Amino acid sequence: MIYFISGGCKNGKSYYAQQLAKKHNAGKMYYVATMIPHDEEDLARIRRHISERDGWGFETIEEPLKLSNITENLDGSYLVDSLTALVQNNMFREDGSFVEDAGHLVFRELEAFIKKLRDNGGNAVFVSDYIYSDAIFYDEMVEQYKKELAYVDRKLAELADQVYEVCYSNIKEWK
Amino acid sequence: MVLIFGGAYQGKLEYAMKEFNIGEEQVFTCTSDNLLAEVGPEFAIVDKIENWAWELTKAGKRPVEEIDLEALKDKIIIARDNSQGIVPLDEDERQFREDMGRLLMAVSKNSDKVIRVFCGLGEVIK
Repeated sequence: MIYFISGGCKNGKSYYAQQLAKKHNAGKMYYVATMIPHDEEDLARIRRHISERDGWGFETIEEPLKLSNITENLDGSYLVDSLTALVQNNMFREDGSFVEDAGHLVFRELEAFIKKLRDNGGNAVFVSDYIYSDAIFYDEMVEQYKKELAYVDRKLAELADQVYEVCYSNIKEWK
Repeated sequence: MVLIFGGAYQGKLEYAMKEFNIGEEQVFTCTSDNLLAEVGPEFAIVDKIENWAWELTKAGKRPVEEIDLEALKDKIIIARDNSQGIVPLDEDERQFREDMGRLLMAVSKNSDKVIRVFCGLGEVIK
């Protein structure tokens, strides 16, 4: 089964995603860590996430860019948190370059990863962030980022078996 | 009238065209260069109404007072929801958010059906 979770930030998405992954785990559970830390604040957030996952039984896989690097244990249960970071890392590269179609790149990888999981009896929970209902006018690069992340969200929502929106730890089932 | 709203890039137009079986030639897209008064009977969807509202906001007018709801009563109106972020610093942008809120409340009230679109999926909320 493929689950897609989105919603506003600091709403309990990660916690719900962990619960889903654990409840529906097909065997071994893997947490795909997607964040590239840039400062002490990021490191603190990562430490907090690690301690929150403590005792859940996840094995952590660091994969900030390419899900296609995951080639083993495709019968397991994966938690990918988050698509927001995957698109960000693929768009604003460490070497300073800007990849305009990063969302399309990420989705192609997601599609292939999901197919492999489905073929091998694995499952996955993907987490994204709903960042589309504010009133700020952004520059072109940020607008492009929103557009590409939304592309991944829409395509994944179409592909997923279940789609949930988390709102202050309340769960709305969209699909 | 039908109102379809949702955040940016959520696939609102695609959803509307598919759900109501409407072709591209029946879509009126609001831009800074056209007016809602130009929407003739050949159009079924009025997309990006926020663009029309933004021009009015900048001109110091209130979209909710300018809209002719009677003329649009058989249309599907698509709007980008901008109600859920922090208050914008810029005065026009701040006013725009208020204008959109008031406009969409009026449109909602006059709509037989209101649909929220999230990641390409729709939910009827009225």
